[in-house]
Amino acid sequence: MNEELKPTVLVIDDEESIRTWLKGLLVSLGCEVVGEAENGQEGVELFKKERPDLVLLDVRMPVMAGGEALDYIMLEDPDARVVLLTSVRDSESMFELMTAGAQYYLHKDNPPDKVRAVLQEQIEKLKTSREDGST
Amino acid sequence: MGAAKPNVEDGGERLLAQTIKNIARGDFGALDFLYTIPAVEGVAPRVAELAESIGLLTLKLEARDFHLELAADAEERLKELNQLKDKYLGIAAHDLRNPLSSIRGMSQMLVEDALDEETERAFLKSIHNVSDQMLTLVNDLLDVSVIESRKFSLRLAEQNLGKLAAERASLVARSAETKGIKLCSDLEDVADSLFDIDRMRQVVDNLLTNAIKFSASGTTVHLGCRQTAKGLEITVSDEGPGIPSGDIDKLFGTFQTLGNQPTGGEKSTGLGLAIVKKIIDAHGGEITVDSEVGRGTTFAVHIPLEPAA
Repeated sequence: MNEELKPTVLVIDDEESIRTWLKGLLVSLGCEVVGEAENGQEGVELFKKERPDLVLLDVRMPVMAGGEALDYIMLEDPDARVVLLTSVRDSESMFELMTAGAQYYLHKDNPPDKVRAVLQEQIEKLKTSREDGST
Repeated sequence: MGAAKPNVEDGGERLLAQTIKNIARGDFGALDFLYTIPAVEGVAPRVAELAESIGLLTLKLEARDFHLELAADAEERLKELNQLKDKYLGIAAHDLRNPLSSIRGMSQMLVEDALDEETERAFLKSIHNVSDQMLTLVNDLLDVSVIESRKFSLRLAEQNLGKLAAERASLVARSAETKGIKLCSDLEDVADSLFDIDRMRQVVDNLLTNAIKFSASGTTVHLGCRQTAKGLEITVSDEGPGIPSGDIDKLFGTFQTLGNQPTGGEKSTGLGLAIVKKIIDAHGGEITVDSEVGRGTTFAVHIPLEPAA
């Protein structure tokens, strides 16, 4: 795959092991991880700086929670592609966040294969919309 | 409320009526008068029996009220504990579920995928670190649960707090060095005293590791131990970021992690200081914080030579 076309991703989650895992997974799926942040504030700053193709955003974090960070990111770029990271039990807040502009959500505690499948799908969508020139 | 003066002309009937009224009000004083009036003499013993039954019944009711109050208090307490338990379970579930998800993910990739060495190392290191973190959380939760359930009792023995402080200091010296932090001890000779060595070890460890956690390279952490008029004092000072005055009240709450970030990326369960405070309280002691943003923080723990009963 052409180096230039590697989708760029930003990972925002307060749990270090989650970031390590997802980074490794994203790389194995052919992405380039351009940054990682452990709270919403850092995440928004990195987003502004790197303008990644895809953002993985944890909904529950200290120092600016996912919801607020999402709003800031959407403000910065309404076309930003954000996938929310959540646990299965967080379903209530998901609807609100999805309507706020996130593309999809990912249950971190699903079986790893499912997590991989969801990410793969989102990356495919990204590539397709890129090819269509609609990003 | 005394009984009415006997009016003998009425033949005691009025007295009887009055006596019965008084008994109903709980005053049995008039009973004695009944025996002095021939007309009602025969009834007196029956009235006395009645008075006794009423007295006993009243006592039973009072006892029952008292027990009901105790039961209501116990129920309140149970509700509180239940809520606390639910809260801890919720937080534990979240704080344990996340790392578990990543351990599952990483270990699966380690087994199934061909990973480059850098990723492999990163995964293994992360799994190792996060296991430690999870174990600490589980231990802290169990601790808090024991302490909250009031089953918590101190195992007191006569020993030396200064020696304990010295011992803990030398154990954390290495991790301090790794972070470029200097650990300075100023430990006076103190008298032996009565305390729970495991719990006080926990206290000293927690304060020392916190100080190191929030200190930057090149700064110093001071550990002091001295005898005071009423007991013993341990102080731990750091030159870290300091705690905003608004946050100081929240410091000893459970699951409190405040704005300051550990300088080495360490994790906080948010339970440490809550546990420390409960241990000090149980010893009949006191813990104070003196902190200023930009200057640093000093924790001072004072315990009596002998915990109050």
